[in-house]
Amino acid sequence: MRKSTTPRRRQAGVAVVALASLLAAGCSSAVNQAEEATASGGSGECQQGGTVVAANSSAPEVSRVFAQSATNLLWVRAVFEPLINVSTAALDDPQPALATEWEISDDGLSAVLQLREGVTFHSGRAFTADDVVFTIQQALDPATVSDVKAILAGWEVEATGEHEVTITSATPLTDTLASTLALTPIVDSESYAGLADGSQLVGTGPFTVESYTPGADIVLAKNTDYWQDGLPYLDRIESTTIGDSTAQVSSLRSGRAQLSSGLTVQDALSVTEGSPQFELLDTINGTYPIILDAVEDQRVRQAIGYAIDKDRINEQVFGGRGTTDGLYWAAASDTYPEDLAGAYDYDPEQARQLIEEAGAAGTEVPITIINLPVIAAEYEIIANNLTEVGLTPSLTALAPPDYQQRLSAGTGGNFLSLRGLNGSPSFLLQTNADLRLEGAHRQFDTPEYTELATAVIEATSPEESAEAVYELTEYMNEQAFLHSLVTAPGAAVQATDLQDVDVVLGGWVPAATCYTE
Amino acid sequence: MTRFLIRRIPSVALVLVATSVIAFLLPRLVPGDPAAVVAGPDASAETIAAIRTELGLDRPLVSQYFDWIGGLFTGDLGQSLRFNRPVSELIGDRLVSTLELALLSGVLLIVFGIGLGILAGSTRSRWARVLVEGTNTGLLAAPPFLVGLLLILLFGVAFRVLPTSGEVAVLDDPGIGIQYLILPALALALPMSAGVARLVQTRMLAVRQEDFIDLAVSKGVPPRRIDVRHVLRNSLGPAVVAIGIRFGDLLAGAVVIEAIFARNGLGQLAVSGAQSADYTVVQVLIVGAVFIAVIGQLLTEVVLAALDPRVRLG
Amino acid sequence: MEDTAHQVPETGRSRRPRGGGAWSRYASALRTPKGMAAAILLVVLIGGALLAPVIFPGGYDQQARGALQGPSGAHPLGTDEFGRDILVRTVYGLRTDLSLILTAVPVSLVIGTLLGLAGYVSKPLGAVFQRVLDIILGFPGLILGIMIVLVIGTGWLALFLAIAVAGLPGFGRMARGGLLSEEQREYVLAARVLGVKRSTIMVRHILPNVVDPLLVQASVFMVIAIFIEAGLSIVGLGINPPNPSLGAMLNVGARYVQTLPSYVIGPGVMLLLLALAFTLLSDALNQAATRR
Repeated sequence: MRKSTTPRRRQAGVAVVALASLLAAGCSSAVNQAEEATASGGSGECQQGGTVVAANSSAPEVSRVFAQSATNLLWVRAVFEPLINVSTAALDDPQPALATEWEISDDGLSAVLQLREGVTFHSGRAFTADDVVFTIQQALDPATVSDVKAILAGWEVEATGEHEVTITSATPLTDTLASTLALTPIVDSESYAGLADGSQLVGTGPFTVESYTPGADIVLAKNTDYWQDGLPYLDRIESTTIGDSTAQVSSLRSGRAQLSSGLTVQDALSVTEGSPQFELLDTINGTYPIILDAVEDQRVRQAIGYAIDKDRINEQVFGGRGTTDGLYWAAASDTYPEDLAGAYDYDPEQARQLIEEAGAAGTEVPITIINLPVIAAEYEIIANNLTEVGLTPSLTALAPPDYQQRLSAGTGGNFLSLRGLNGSPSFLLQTNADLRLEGAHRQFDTPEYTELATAVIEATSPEESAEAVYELTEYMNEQAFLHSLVTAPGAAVQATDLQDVDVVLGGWVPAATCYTE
Repeated sequence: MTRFLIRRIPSVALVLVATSVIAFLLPRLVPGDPAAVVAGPDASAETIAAIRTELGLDRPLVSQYFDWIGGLFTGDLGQSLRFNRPVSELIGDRLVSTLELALLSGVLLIVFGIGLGILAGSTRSRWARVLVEGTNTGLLAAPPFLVGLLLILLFGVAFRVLPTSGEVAVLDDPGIGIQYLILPALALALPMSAGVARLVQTRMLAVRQEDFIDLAVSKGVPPRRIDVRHVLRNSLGPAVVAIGIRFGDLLAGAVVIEAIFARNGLGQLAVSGAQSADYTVVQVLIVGAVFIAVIGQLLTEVVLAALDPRVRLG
Repeated sequence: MEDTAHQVPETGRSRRPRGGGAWSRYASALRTPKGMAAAILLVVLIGGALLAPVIFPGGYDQQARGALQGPSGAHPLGTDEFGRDILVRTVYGLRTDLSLILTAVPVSLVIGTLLGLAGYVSKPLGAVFQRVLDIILGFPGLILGIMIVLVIGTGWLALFLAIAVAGLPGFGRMARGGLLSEEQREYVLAARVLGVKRSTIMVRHILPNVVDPLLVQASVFMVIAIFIEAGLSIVGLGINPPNPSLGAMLNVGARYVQTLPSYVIGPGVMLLLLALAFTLLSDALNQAATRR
């Protein structure tokens, strides 16, 4: 028996011992290493240095810097800066970025912007008014994806000085200038061709791109020549992609990631609740509407509005962090028609009555959704509610290519959507795919709607604009071709020892973000 | 052997050609438009149309197919529709991650699979056998992602000695890299090893019934020696086949494991490619995987022939 | 696919033609400890799934405000994110899983076997089908399933097809392997020399001899089918809500694993039991097949 100890067995033994010693003491621990990379707890002074691992649920899409995309939320504003920054929590309080000040004429049809001096691109080239002109030209290219193309198309942009730009517009700029510029970050004309495939990502921001792995991650390094003295604090940002929500939660819990976006609110809460290490971070406000293109009868559309328990959706899908005013407008906007909020508060009795009047009991209500956890969860409650009042909901859950194609082609039928609330009603009516007059995904279209919406877009004074929004909202409530179900901020999770994680339209601005001592 | 390999060339080529057609058509059968993904959720039909043209998706299918095939022969795998990057680069970035995982899981698969199998097949104690069998049956019934979840719970929350999220390339930092690999590799290998163990055990039991064993026993060869020299050696064939087939699985089938351990490997590329209609990426991955599977099968037949003189390559 | 993790042990070496007795052999398989355990488990699980509408007449979509509550008398496993009883949904989820695998696996078995045996009718045809099966087998990971779901659209039918197609190579190879080895046996050659019709040889001699391994493979593939359902659910392509399935529940439940462990434990244990039942069954059948 003893002699049958074959050489092979001995080799296996050696391998096992080697592996064990490797684990035991032989080398450093990956867990400790990950923990050491982050400065530890406490509050107070900003520290220089440190690395932030930022996990996002979807991979960066570098060709879409002119669109506000959840995929780019955690890196794009670190590299590319706009002229003006706007936060969705304070839409009427735009902040200077690459423009130091701006003035809009009384008729609203022109604006003059002063640009910041002493700003250079990562390549070393100085930023001037020509770069603004170039940027807006590129955003208008048919194959460029831009959220604000419809507005930019009506602009004339002229460099009226080395650091001065004048914009003249066909429609008033009063309610649209800040948001439009906030979503159009300045790109470098010399390296623009490299933006399409991400081979060259050159902006003016606080971080430069160190490496980019398509579909996986972007690693950013501190821009030592940043125009704001003393900033940024962080040395490095690793913006990585973790598609699976379970994995994203475990990346936070295991101490790997300090910032995380794209998880569902419930997932975010499961990490932050009762945890001293993590807290919730609000990102961009979005609205989650249902668009009723395939329900002919106005009474049934209204009934659906009453039938859906928006508060329960808010509670169970959005962790109670949203609002359910039933209006498509941002409450932070100046012209928000407060009196018209809550027109479709949950009232199943009313819904049943309307359905009975319309003789629509048992009618099938097909609903198209994009296959995302949040939207699917929303659908579960909607379906339950509609069944309760005697309608028959049915689901078509689509992958993004199919969903987006059907919507843009106008063949989505009834659908659930999600849109950023990035500006005033006037801004939304020109850019938002559910609302805009041209190229809309919504199929409902009447002369009244066009007229009322145009009045909002063309209003110049605050009073005029508030009145136009009020009238349009009344009409929308009555027609009920769409119902805004919940307005909620995007959910992200940040480590509590990170300070000043500012989010504006477009994404996280990491210039002032730092670890505290 | 060379003659055997040469004889197989036409059928291998046929499989690959058929695969390329399927791999080309199948993703395109999925309703939806890759240009709509590139354009984003708010885009109008005009923007999508402009992007379609730019991506070359409005050309006839036949010419798209032959362009792709032509490219393959010159080493050009095509451009990712979504990322605007060469497919070869996307794959190259992830190949190492997946290979590392597959290799370590392969090693674990062999160790656990054959180890458990031998234990089950050679132990004579009834209780030990029940124990080993029980473990085996349990593993067979446990899906890899459940094992993975359990490991994440155990090591991510309870005993934080091994990382449960992310990866570091072993080539960059062997000590740290291997720690990132251990849990996902275990999650992948453990359930699979049960299948291999089962095979080894069954074969050992069957071989033991063979005449030449009876002969050896009657000659007075000690039982241990019979186990090692005769039974084991004649039982490993099917296990080799199984592991050979499964290595391809390990390479490609780690989709779920990669997802829950946040590894950016080929599996993730394939899933996200399929869901975002990135045809050019998906078609290459499919053809590549089938190619590897076919080669793996050939090699297994060759190895099998080397192990068992009765098997003749035909 | 990740499923080939499980493979059917090869069948016994010494094969003899035989008449009936198949049923008694399967019955004897069920009398072994493993077979008994499998049978009891399956009866309980299938019975529970069939009776679900009787035991829980309220259905699986009774939403309420009390979401994510811990286990209590009224809700033994607690409630899910929409206030629905997790136990009720687990049982209905089991129903979904069983409805999938008990239909898709037999379909796969029949079609796969036919593809595998096609070589008996025509050699070239058999070779062509064999190559088709090779291609399916070579598809990376869950990708074939994912593509099928994407083409068909999410839902029960897509999962059914994904499972049925994934099983084809296994059954096909098994059948073809059986055919090739049986064709060379003396008794088949003898029968042929004696002028027995080919179809008779097929039905009387070859088919009975490939049935055993195919049945074992079928019960092994049941387990794999459960995993396919779960895997597709993990990547978000499972059954349509509000229908529950074990995989879909696990996918969501995994996120609450710390706050509400019963959300994972419930469907997780159910899935393990189901997989265990079929694993034991395949063992018992295999033992019976090799013992004779």
